[in-house]
Amino acid sequence: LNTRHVAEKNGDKTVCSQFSISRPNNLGILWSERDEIKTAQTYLESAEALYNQYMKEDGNPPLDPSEHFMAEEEKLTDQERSKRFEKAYTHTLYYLAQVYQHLEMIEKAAQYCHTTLKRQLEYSGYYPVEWALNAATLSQYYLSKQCFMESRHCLAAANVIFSQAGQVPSAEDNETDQDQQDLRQRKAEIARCWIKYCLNLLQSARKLLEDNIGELDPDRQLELKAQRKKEEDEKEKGRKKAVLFGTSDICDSVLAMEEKVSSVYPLDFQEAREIFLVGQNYVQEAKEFFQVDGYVTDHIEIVQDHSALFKVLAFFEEDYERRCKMHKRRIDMLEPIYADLNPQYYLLISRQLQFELADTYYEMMDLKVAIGNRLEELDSHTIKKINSLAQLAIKYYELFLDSLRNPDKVFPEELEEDVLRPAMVAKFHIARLYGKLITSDGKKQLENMQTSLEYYTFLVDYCEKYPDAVHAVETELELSKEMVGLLPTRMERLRAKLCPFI
Amino acid sequence: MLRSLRPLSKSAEGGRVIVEVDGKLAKVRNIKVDSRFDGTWDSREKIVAFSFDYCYWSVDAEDPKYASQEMVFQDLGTSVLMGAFRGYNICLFAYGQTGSGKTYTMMGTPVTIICAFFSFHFFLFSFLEIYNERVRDLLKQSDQKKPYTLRVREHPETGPYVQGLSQHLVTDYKQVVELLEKGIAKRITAATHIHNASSRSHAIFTIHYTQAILENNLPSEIASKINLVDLAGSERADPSYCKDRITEGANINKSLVTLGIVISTLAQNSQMFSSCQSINTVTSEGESSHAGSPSTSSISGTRRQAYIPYRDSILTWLLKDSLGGNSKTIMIATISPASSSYHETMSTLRYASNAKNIINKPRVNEDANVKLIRELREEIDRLKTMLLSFELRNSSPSWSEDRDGNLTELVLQNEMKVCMIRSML
Repeated sequence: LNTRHVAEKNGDKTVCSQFSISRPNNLGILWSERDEIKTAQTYLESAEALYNQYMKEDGNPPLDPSEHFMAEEEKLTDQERSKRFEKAYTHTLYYLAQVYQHLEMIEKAAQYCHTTLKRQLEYSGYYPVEWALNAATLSQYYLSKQCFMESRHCLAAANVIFSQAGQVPSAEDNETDQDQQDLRQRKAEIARCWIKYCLNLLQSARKLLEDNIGELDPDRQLELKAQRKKEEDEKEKGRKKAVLFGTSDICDSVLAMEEKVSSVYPLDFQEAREIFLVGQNYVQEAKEFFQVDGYVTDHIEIVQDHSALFKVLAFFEEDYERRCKMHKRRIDMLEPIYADLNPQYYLLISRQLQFELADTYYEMMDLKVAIGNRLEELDSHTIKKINSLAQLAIKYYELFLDSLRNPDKVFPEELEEDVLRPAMVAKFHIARLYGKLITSDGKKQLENMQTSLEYYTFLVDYCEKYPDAVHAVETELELSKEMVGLLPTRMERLRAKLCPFI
Repeated sequence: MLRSLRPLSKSAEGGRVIVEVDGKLAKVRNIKVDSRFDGTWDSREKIVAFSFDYCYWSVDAEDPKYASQEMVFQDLGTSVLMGAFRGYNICLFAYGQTGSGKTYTMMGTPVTIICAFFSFHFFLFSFLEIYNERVRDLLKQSDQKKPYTLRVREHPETGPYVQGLSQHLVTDYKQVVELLEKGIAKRITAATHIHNASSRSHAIFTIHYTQAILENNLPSEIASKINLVDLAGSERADPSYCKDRITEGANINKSLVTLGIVISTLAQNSQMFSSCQSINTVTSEGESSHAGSPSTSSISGTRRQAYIPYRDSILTWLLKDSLGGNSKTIMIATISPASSSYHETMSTLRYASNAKNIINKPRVNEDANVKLIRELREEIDRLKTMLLSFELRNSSPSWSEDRDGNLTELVLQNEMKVCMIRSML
């Protein structure tokens, strides 16, 4: 604390500045150890301010603190001095990133992480693989904030820097198999970050474009396209202000990488398809390392992402038949994996897949119905198709419900909190599906209605027995009650018509 | 989940006791707020309380609240045993500061369990250690200089496994003890500043328990797995790192290690659906290593928005599906009562508290559901209208009975068409 006094009295700005960065840096650490994060913040921010002020006003690097104790000949070169100064500042930013994180000032923390990464490239040195992974992880943060431009930039830089890892000979030249393995894994992990980028971009675009029944709204599409034209200029300005990675040599490579995929919302099928294809390429890349045999969980997550890519692409596709084909691709990739999975070890994934398969079959059934409606008559082939898809959806919802049974195969009396809603929704969906089965056989029709009624009744009865469950399925319960009221009457009428009273 | 404490060791005797157990609550006195220690628990002081399913105080055998090893077994061991008996997989974690009594609790309990049953069942034991993300078989002699590293893999049918891990058939209690002792001796021990016999590695002791039974007069078997996990001491392997403090960068050249951790945390926390915390984030808090991958899971549709590349995965990989579902998981958190361990005690309790919420929650795809609900509403409206109109029509004499056969079909077809058209609106 006394040194500051001395330095100020000295009046030598040069000396003062350097002292005042490393000192607050160290004090910052000290105060953080005493759990006084806010004080630490003050010191570090003062260091930061001093750096900025210094760089603006002066220009020559200040004397390094160690130099005060050196003889004249030993003093550092300008270059070295500058290097150390910049390094001290990088540390300031690095500490601030941590401080802001502890204070939960998330955006600032991210900003400082970003800047620290940038400075690592420019001044401090870095390990390419680690840097690339950090950049890729930061891109995921940006995804959650819908900052696609920044996210893409981080990912592009990650790719470029990662490729340096192969080139630079490692310190220990005896690269083991394990190291090679690790390298391949990291590459696949960066690919997975890219998949999420593409997926998020498409899904966010969908949210903007969909109407209240989940279809593409052409009016909104026109609106957004017009808006985008206007914003193109502003985007350029925004770009220049952004924190960009790169010394001159990697700058071009990063730009080239960025040009391969858009960072603006796709507004029609063509644009969506381009992003989809980039995502699909990264799926293949990721699957090269994360194979089923060895990496079951990771492999399945990647396939689920692939399925999600198809699902969101289908939204942009206007033609129902082609849409249906996309959903069929999803079934084709998910069903085989599901079949091989042992639920004893992969229970959660198993349940996820059951639900996704059921939903996808339901989606396909709906599309077939829509296609059928456009024709004059529903031909028997289409009816068969609709029914078979409905049955498959039912099958997977039932499989999910079976997964809830205990080892003695008994369905639980009372459902646990975390499976309550999915179980109820499954029952509800099955009820609805039985109501959608098409048959000209009156007896069969009655049977279907009876089954449907039983499932709606289950919901109503369960909520009566366990009133706490109501909050989880309010809407479904309300509709189930209605159906429980209406169906018996309907069935009566049908019965009467089938066996008329003579 | 329960917590037990260890008697103050000789070196800690001079310190003050800042922990108290009250029923299902563990209370810790914040020593920063209160600088004068007068032995009474003043409600004006800052006291933080954590609730658990079970709390045990085992510091002083003379204390009326003392919980003996037998008591712990009673509560904990029985539940483990019954679960395994019925075919559930069990996972028992022990977490806490080195020197707080984990190893003692952990190893003592299963030994008592095992000796209970030995007929119509057989047990296969394996014991492994995870140190610096490398897996070692603790029950196999390796003649090479380098410790033999095993690879962890996942198989779709048999689940996650360690390739090449030795399994030992055991037929009596003495053998079990022998195996345990052999394995424990092999563990890498590193001196920490608190407890000399501590280890910085995780250890997993696995019991494959198979019962031969008759099901519908056919021989069958029930297999279950009991994992006993001894989590590494909760001090960071790198003593200069602490979550609540800033890591110095001065001595780190190229690799600002913590930067990766900060970025990972930012990415994780900003995810919309990270309502569940994975055991990895709990365990990784106890090491210098990196924030783990959140195993948030939803049943379909709305899944994780981001992929966080994580670096230490071995532990969670092996035990991933042991949380929730058809597994029973028990976590034992052990803490020291001494004031000198305040930080670590608070950390442990906080993480253990969070661990209670580690459940993989399946969630519903709400997009698909909303659409279905809308359709059903329309169907209901249509049904109501139809029933009303048919009631009116039925009173009219123009519907003759011999037309009813064809009429039924016509009606059905019409209904189907209306239904389908409406459903597409």
